[in-house]
Amino acid sequence: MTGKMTVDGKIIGTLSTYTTGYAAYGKRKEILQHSSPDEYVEKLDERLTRIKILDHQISNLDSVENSLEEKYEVELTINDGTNKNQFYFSPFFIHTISKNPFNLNERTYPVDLGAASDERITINVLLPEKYLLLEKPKDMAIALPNAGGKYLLQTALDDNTISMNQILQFNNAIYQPEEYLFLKEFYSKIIQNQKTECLLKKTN
Amino acid sequence: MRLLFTILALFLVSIASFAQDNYDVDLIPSNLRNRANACIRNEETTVDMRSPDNVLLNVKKAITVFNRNGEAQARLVIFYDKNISIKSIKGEVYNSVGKLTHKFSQNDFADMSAADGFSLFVDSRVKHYLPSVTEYPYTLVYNYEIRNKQNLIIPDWTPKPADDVSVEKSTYTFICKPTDDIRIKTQNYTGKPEVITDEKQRKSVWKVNNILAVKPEPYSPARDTYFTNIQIAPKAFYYYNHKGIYTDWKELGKWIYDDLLVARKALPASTIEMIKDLVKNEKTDKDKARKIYQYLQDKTRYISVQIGIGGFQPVAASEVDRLGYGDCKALVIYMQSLLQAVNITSYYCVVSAGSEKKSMDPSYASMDQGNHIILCMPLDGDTTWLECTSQKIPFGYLSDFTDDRLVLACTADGGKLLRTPKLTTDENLQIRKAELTLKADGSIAGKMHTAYTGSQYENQERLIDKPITEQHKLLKETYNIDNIDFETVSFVQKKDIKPKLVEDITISIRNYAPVNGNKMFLQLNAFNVKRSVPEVKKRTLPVYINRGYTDEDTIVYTLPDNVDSELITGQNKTFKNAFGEYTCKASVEGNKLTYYRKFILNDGTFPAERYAEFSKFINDVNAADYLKLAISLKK
Repeated sequence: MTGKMTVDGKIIGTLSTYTTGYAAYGKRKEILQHSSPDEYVEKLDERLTRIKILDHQISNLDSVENSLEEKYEVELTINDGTNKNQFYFSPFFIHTISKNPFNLNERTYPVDLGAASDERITINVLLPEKYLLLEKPKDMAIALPNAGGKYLLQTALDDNTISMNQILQFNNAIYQPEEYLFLKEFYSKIIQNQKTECLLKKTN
Repeated sequence: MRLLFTILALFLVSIASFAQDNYDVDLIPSNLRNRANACIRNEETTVDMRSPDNVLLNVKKAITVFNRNGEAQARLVIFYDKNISIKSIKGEVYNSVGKLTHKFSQNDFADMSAADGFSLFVDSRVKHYLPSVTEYPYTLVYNYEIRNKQNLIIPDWTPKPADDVSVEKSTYTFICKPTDDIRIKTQNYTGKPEVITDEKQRKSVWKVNNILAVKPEPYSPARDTYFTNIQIAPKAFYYYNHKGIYTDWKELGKWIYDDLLVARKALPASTIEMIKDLVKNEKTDKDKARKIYQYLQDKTRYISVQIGIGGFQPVAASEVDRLGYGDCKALVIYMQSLLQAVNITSYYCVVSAGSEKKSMDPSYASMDQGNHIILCMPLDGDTTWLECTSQKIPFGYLSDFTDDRLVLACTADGGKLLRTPKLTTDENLQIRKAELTLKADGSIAGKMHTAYTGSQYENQERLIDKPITEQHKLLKETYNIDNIDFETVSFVQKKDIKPKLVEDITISIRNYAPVNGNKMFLQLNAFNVKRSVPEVKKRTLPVYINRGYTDEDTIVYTLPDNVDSELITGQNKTFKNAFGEYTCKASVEGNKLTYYRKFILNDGTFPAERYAEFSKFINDVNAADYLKLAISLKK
């Protein structure tokens, strides 16, 4: 996602998503459940109450050998813009992880995720003025045992552009019961980190 | 001259067959393709009531399926039982340019029991067929005829079966003798039917053209309150060897009472004696009824068996007495008989059950508006209602399954429409008080007390008889918070006419408020976040809120020493409008941080143009529910 933050607390930009493999299969299926891709986007727009979709383009819906491409021109409301000198901003507005899918204390059966997966999110937002990044979510690099998966997070402010890079990878389709608590803790760490935010302060 | 007629006739035939046979998809006007997964090109439903025990239904239908999502509409489903015989079915499939690709007949249909999944036995069966076509669009054309050996329930007409289907043309024809007395219910149909009468028959025809597919809208009224629909009820009817006459609820209720119920009430003398003995120490009728209800709940359980007239007529009370089980009808008639043994009057009431409120139509009596039976005791003005199929439900409480709707009471004096009590916004409460201690590392622990009443009484009711490990799992679904754990769990029920369930739990949540540098991020409202609702543009249907409720949460956090509580600024938000009310407040006093949230949702129907206001209200509540404090830590 690449965008610009406006002085009244909005981000206007382009969100591009490329999906392949099983993830693309699932998404194609979801889009095709609507009578047209336009209707899918309309529903999506209605559901995402904080995001307005101004324009969209979905390609390769039918050519399964290529990656499914979605491009959305979006407008997000971050705050009402009343506090321009210093404000909090959460960079986790795409695919936020707020619930732990693994909430049991004991596990008897394996966890079947269906397929290995890899999700990468890159966000670049150009700020309207010069800001200092006073606080930010901790940069993270955590992994599951036996190279089962990893989560990487990096945020930075460079030349008025705030950037966030995130990788969430699961290398196995199936995890054994004894790996369950690792998965739970893995998600817990991500959730805790995603609750924290960036604090930006205007410089003169 | 004759030749000319012949040529003319041939010409007409060829035009007719051309018009009928051309199923080229390109002929569908574009407005009928918009938002549609299927389009009914032409449907002709003809009901010919030749006599009360011989009602023919003939359906001719051509439907174009645009994509896989429209297939559900193409499936040809025919229910039948001993009262219905299928006379013929045949059909064809055409491709997108209208070329015939194959034909099918009754042999291609799958035939199976129409068991509903919870009944022990039903005698309905179903035949269904869906062509295996993988190239869209295609058109399915079929014609079937079935014979109903009854006329109590006449096949009705709903030209547009679903939101995502458009209708090019649909007609409904009802044929009866000119002398037959019938009543017609017309909903959302403009104009009058075309009526043609001769000495042999009277034919009424309803027609619609060009109905567009629409997008489903959230918080809409029940579909069957606004769809175009025609229903017909003959005055004189025949059903499984029963005959009757009715034109209103009074007469229909009288027939049900006299023909289906009275003979089922007898109980063995020993049971009557036993019941008299059971309540001999109770003073009021209500106390007696409570005692008998307890006896019913201890003795019986619910099973469902629906065979023939058994769909409308209960098995005898003496059978329930002997076996200890029955369906809703049987358990109600049994309870009614037990009450009668001690001279307490009660009414057998037909209701349309379900969380969505549906009333019997006061202006149109018919047999198929209910799906459940409950019992009403007038008790000299202290009217009390009983749900007889549950072993757990409190005496006098109907729950959201049958609250606030018109039901048909079948009494010796005939049928009467009565309204069941409403569970109101003020009584549907969830009141929560929690005292939690926040630790220096951001973990929290403490006690939480929640009281549920009104329609919310059943929110956590299913947990009560579960083993403790299952309770923990289910609580983790209700309170789906990362790292949550429960130490003690207790439920107390006050089983009254206005019941109350109290949940007391001790919880701990590790790393709930993550610490980052010298800040701690605390989401104040941990347990009750209102979900957002979609923002619909160009809303067409009214906004309908089926049932209102009130939630109140008070959470007192005791802050750890490393928190600089002086730097926490108080928060206060209030919204109020016709849809409800919301308040959230956070304030600090010493080391106590108090969070208070109140949310009221009102029930009612509001004009379509107010949907935007409604969705803004709910989405503002949703945003405010995520209120998160960044608390500064002492250095």
